[in-house]
Amino acid sequence: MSRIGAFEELVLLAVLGLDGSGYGMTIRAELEAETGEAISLGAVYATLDRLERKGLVRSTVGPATAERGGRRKRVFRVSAAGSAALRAMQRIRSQLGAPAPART
Amino acid sequence: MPNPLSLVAWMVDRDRREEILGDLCELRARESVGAFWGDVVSVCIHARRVRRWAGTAAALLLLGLAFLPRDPRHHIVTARDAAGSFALEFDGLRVVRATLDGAPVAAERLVQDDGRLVIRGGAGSADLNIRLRPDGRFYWRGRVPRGNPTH
Repeated sequence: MSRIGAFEELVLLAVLGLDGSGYGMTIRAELEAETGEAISLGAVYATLDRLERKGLVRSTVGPATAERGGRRKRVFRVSAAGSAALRAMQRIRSQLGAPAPART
Repeated sequence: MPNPLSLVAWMVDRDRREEILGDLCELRARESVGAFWGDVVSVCIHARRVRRWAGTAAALLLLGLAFLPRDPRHHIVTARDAAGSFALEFDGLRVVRATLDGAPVAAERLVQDDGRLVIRGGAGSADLNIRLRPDGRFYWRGRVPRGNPTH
């Protein structure tokens, strides 16, 4: 299973939250809204690119709109491997945060 | 002022160009000029092509530094005899600095003329006489350890 970094995990969660309608700009907006921090658009594209190469997200090309100067958008969806990576991260977090068993 | 979209189109990879330019087109209508240019710069910096260029440039720079011709006239030679070690820093055939047992020798203690170098001994130490040859080699009479006076 691919290991994911903290920012990769955040991007994956944002893609998951947008339920297949997220693209670069909206994923960045979602991250900024949830973290309350300014996020670099370039970092989001680079991370999406990396996640796609790892097989954790899949992308499809959406329709062109006038607002985008007639250009199409690329929308992202979390793959089965991406969901598994998120679950693994969640499990690791809960195990690390759980109280240690009492020693006899 | 350059057109930011043309700049981005030139920087980013072709397979990502349409989506990125479309996003920036949307953002231009919503963001302040400063924020928009911040996005343009961040997209350019993170572009795979730019990172490849930066990596290649860094590798070439390191390669260039490794093969940078060094001044063959400038070199340092260390030597040792029974009294200890010394080092001579040459610029051509001229000694510009010296150390005795790692301690720098004051410039006024270096006396040099026509193929001969004398490092004046201080505090009761003997002079160190060195014969410099035109081919860069040098010879000296081995000193005796301190506390073993010669007769």
